[in-house]
This record gives sequence, structure tokens and C-alpha cells, in this order.
Amino acid sequence: MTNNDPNRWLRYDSERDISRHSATHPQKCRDMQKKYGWKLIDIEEIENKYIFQVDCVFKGKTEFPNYVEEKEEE
Amino acid sequence: MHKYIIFQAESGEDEGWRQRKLQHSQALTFIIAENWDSSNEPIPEPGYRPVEFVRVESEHDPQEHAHNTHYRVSDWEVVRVQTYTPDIPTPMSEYDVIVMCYCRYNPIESPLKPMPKRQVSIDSFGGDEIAYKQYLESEEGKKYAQSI
Repeated sequence: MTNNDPNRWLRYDSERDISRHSATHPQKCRDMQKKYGWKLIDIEEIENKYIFQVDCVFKGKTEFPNYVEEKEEE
Repeated sequence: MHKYIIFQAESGEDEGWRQRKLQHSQALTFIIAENWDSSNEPIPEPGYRPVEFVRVESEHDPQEHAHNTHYRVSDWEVVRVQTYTPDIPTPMSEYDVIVMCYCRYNPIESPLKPMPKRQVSIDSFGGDEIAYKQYLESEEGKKYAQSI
């Protein structure tokens, strides 16, 4: 991943366990997987729903920086 | 490369077939797990074991967990792999390859690990920046309410 790569701020380490992202619809799990080149291994419905409907579980350590803070810093 | 990976019980495997059902129709299924993989990881080979998810009822917290509370390396082991490629390449097709992994039940000792903490990002809202900002503000509001 080079400094010119727009996804350079994403961290993905397939050797490190799993990670979990909430989403408002199961399709968004597949969208994230495709967009960031991740491996989606489970989608679970949240029982106690408020904003989010599902949890997306990815192989490896997948992390986002704080999008809003990053944008404000630019 | 977009891969759709299906783990199926090898024919003749008798373990747990009564529990493997499509919930909406109650139809029995051979599918053990599905993965959608756009990473650079190679496709599974014989000996590979998928991740298995487990619900420990006594540790389930509806605020923290969806259905499962833990995960582990599966008791199912891949013994045979077949790949199928579409007639039309991506992006016209959804996947570059469909991978069928046939598995046998071969239990192993593997520790239960707790599910990791949830993360939330703008992609949780499908890129809707306004919804994401509203969520962050409501979380800040909750924190403030708890502090007073």
C-alpha cells in the first residue's frame, strides 16, 4: 500500500483474529468487504436494535480512523 | 478478486444435520458457513478450518452482542475444494470465483475467544455522512448525560 493509495489509512491484518463493524443493513457488510478488500465471515442480526440492525464480522484486524476528525484536519 | 466461499458438509457426514436449516423455510441445508472475500488471502486448501461462532448464554449481553458471544476455530475441516468461474468476468458478474469447500467433522481443542468490540464508521451508514454525524452527536449526548 503506497502513500498515494486512497485507502492507505485503513489497517487490515489478516493474521490478527477478527473484527466487528455495526451496520444498518446486511448489504452494507458486503459493501464494506468489497470496498476495502476485506474478508467477511459472518453477518449477525442485532437483537436489541436501536440504530444498527446487524453486526458484520471480518477476518483480521480491520480499523478505520475517525472519519470526521480526519476530514476536519485536512 | 471477489470470492464467494461456501463451506459445505461432505456427503456422508452425519454430524449436526438436524440443526443445519435455513431459518425462513426450515429446509435442511449442507451449508456450514459462507464467506465473502475480497482480500488477498488465498482460497482455502484441504486442512483449512473456518471460524465458528458460539453463543454462551450466560455471557450474552444484548447491549454488546448480536447473537454470538465468542468465536473459535471450527471443528469442520476442509477436505476438498472446487472452484467455479463465471462465464462473464467481473464487474458484469458478482464474483470472480465461487469456491466450494467440502468439509468433514473433525473436532479439535480450540479456545473460545470473546467477540471483539464493535466499531462504527461512516460505512456503517452506507456513506451517509449526515446520519453518521447525527450518530456521533447522539453518542456524545449520551456520554454527557451519564456524566451529570
